[in-house]
Amino acid sequence: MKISNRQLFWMIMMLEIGINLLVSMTATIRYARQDAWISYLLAGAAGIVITWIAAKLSSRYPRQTLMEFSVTILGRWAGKLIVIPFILQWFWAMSLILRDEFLFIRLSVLYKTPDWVVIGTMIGIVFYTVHRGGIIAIGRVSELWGPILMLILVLTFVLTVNNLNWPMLLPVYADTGPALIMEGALAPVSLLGESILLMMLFPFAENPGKATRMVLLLGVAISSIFLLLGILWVIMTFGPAVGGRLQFPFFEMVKLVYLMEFIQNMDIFVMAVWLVCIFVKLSICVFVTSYGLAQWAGKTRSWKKLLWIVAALTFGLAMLVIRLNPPAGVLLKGVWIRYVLPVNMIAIPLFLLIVSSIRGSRQ
Amino acid sequence: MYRKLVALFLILPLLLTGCWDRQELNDQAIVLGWGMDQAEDGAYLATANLVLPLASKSGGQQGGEQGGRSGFMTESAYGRNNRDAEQNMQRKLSRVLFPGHRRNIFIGEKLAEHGVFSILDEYGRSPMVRPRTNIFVVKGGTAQEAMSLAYQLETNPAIAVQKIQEKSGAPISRSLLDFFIMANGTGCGVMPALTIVPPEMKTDKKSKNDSPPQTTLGLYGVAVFNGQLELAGYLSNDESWARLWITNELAFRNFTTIINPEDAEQSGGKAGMDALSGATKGQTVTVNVDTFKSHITPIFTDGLPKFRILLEGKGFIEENNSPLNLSKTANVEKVEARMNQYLVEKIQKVTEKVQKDFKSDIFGLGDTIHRRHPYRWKKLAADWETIFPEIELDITVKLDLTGTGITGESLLPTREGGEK
Repeated sequence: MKISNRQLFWMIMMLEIGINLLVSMTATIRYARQDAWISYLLAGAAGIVITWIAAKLSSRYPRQTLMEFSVTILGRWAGKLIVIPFILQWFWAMSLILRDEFLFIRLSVLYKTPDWVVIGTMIGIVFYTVHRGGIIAIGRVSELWGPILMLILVLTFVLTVNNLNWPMLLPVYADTGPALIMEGALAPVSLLGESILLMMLFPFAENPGKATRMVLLLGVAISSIFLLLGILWVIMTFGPAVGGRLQFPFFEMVKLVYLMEFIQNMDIFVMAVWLVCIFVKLSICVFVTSYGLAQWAGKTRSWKKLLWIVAALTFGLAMLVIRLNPPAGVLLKGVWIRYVLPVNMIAIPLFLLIVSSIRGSRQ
Repeated sequence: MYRKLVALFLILPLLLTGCWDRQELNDQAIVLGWGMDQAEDGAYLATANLVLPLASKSGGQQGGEQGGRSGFMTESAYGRNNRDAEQNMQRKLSRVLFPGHRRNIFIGEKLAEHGVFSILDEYGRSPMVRPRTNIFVVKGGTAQEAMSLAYQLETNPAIAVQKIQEKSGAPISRSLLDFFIMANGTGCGVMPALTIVPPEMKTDKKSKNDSPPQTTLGLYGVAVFNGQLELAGYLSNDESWARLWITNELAFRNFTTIINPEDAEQSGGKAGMDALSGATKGQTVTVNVDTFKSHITPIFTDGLPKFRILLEGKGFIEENNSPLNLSKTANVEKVEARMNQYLVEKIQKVTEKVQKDFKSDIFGLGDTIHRRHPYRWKKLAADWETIFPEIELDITVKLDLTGTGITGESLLPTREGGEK
């Protein structure tokens, strides 16, 4: 199973943009108000640093995934233990993606369709893709749909230009200050930081090396730029007060497209492409989780059997999250930002990189 | 294995054909407009403007009435809020109310006076409805009255007012969103106001096919709301452009003023003898302005803040009934100067009215201070409501006339007192 660097680039793009456009904006505008774009600038920079650390670490072991090189670096026991947070993170991420997808679909199109149908069909397709084609199929889907996603996003920005009102961005900095801007940056960083999944994808690249690293960084950088444009557009359309209260401000903005009477209802395109985005992200997560679990258990070959378990477990977890319906703040802030961001995305990769370079120089 | 999977996915769509969210068109009552009024006992009266499916098929030439039937129907019901009233209304309707096309919301004057806080939430919350919505206050009437009035040019009065609003140079169908944004700024807001206008002169219908002017819906101007979102008053159509110009939202407008005939005789324009000699009678000149720009500069001296408001516009002369010969640049400048003076006076009257009578900062002046001088605003924000009526506005209008239409000189033979 090999994917090209270009496919990897599009995979990272789809991974970074979809959920971020949907859920991080409101959280950021609430703290950083009209300075939310500064938060996104910071988040983009932080995302690139996180990606760089993970990519640097991975390129030291170009033929091994996170599950394998953690053992190489720390030895058998410690190596197996240190990746457990990642496995938990993936399950958490998958159930959250599905929950957000369901909430959005329920709110926008299918008002009465039961939750298990919305989630079940998505998991069904993801399962089929991953089972049938593995990482290759995901790579190809991303390569096909990635450019279309970019096109639709660019079109969205162009068609909503006449709604923009730049004074809404003022005053810069005076209302918020560094603490609030940083706090606002946490949500987008925590989602951009999911690029650490590359530690599982790196060895699947055809010639894993310097070019792969560049492609990964480029993917994160370009998605940060798109997200930055997205937040700028949202603030200039709705202002900080209304933008910070809408649940999915980016999609409300798309609904405002109204040009020459007949260009309207663009949201249906954006929604369709966005769903593909979610599909790619979920597929990557499901693949990485089952493949990673198989490697963790030492039986890499039987990853497809684990896929059944992972899919079933994800379905159960997502249903549980929907039924319990914990407030979004707890899910994103209480767990994801408080634990996953500092531990999984920063501390562990950095720790592994340091240990690895000390050992490397000693040998 | 794969075959089984493929078979499964082929069977699944068959099971999923019965979509949960299916709502046949024949089961929907399409809502085009929604109105709310306050009833005596505190309850609300909701009115829905529905498309009549049978009437719209024939596509008649007579607009509002097709084969003796009007193209819409109105239905009303009492309730404690929007949704409650909708549920009560459903009791009388054989089809499910479908608000997906609801682009216009009407608010009766009485409800606006009591404050719109209690009903506005639904318009921003309901996911069925698009955020691009127009909201109107019905001046001197109820929403129900305005919505039941057949409008001849369109099949539906709700659509008609939306189009009137679009054609009057104001921002297109986003008055609700703008209201939300404004109300979150300095706390005041405006909504377009409608009124029911009887024909200016009564003409009798002599034969069956005559179409004399009838009582119809018209745009009155804007309704101004105070910080508590209660109706503070109205600006008429002839005043509301001033606010749009100051807030940089005006798209186009004609201005007509009188030029003193005496000025025309003075060729060249000596000092003190120009068009600004206080013309009160004379002949009219109309300019068509289509580019507007406003620059608001807050000035801080010791006491209260002041504002310098520079309004710029570009346009051309569209009608000239004065003896001025417009092929001479000096005369075009006279029109320009007179027009500037006229506009400043007009705008000053409007700002005074808004400051003294309504005490609502609908020009976004507070927001300007907030944006340009955020640290000073922190001290002013709390008392802005009491400061705003007292602040001084220094208004300047700079019109740039770029053309005189197809001719310079009038095509009419030179008039009395005019230049040769």
